[in-house]
Amino acid sequence: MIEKLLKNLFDFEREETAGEILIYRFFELVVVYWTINYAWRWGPYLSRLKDTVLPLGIAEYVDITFMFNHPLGIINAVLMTVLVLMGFFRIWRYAYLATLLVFHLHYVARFSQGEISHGSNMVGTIIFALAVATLVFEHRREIRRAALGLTYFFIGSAYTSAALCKLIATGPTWPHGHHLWMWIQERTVDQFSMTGSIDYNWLQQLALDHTLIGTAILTVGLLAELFAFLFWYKRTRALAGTMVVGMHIGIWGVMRLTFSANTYILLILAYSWPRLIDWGLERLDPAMSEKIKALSLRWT
Amino acid sequence: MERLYKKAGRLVGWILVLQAVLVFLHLGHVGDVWPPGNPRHELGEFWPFSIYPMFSRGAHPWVRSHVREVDDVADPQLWRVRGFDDLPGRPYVLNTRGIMQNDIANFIAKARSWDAQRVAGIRSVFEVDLRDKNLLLYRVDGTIGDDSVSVTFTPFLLMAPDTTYFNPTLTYPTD
Repeated sequence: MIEKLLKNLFDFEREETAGEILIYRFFELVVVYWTINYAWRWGPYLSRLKDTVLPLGIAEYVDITFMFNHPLGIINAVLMTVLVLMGFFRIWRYAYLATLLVFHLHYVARFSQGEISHGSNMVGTIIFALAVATLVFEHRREIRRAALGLTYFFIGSAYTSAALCKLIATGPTWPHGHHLWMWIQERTVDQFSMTGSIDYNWLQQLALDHTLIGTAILTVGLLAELFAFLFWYKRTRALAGTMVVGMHIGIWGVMRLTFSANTYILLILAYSWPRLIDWGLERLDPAMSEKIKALSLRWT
Repeated sequence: MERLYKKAGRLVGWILVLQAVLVFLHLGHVGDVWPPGNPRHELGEFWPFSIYPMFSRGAHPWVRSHVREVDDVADPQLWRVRGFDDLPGRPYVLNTRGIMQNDIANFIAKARSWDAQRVAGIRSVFEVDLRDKNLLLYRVDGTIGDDSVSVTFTPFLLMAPDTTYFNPTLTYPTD
């Protein structure tokens, strides 16, 4: 069973195509983009903070308030940007590992106010996967397969863990439609505070008017999370990815919470885009096709 | 090839151990069930690793926040508990000021003490507007009844340009 799982995650023996390399580099570029996005979204905000409400991660052992001194948030954002680009352009073998460390510092400083955001966890675990794959494996092709395999593993385990937390904390009644009422009202207070006005969209109104519809929405969401471990297996990856993306769209509809990074990364990894690219390359003018294949081998 | 799979398998194993150690050392409780009473926090989080406990507690009462701009800080009616429809003054719109709602809500819900440093911390978030505005910070509580959700707005802090007033009817947490 474990052998089968490892084969599905890593698939080391299969030949790598130009389409796979191109999609991998695109996937890596998207992770770089989100890292830089978080760096600059949080960096300037840190100087507005003065106090730690609940310490997280390394901040439980080190007083993180030094990060609130202007311009340390900006300097850390610059560091994250430079390091992640060094990783992407293969300038320094330890660049992704160093990115992860400064990213952790950035995160624990930003979320020292008591709330955590899970939006950046997927990007963080992928940076971790890129870092350890680069350090543990030798050849570029093995590094790519290892980084992807670890990413599949993290995605499947994270969403399934979220479902298990719900079942442990609340039990099988978690999907009751009344619980969705609570979260809709909670988000309505947030919207009211953020925008100054109150409005319910049609989906929220439907869930508030009909408990059964709320229960159905939560049941589908819980099942999508629970079976997300199917992302580990090649044959069910697209199905599991589609269910989780669907769940994120549902969360956006009923709670107006977006998980953009997660959604884009899932859309890149869940489907057979490499086969589509290879199919297109076979039909291109041979000279052009060779050019693109050669390009795919640069900076791999 | 077998060597690569062995290496990858060992790597996954070590990552699982690392992940388990980090999140369990930083775990408060999953909901109210297990394990009880870790005083540090309730998250099971050591970024980027997490057990992902968001929305795990169905029907659990929540605490959020809301900020209003008010004119007369001496009005005793300001300290009344209210509902959505009869809040005094005008909404202080956080989005236009680049202030994060989660941060304010959690300041109110999770701060373990309200000493001078904590008050200075929350005031610093509104620093620019506190030069000429009075801001009334509400604690908003949500609880579920048989067939509806009850939402109440309790005045928590009144921040004026030169001073901060606490709600005289509330007891504030201290360490």
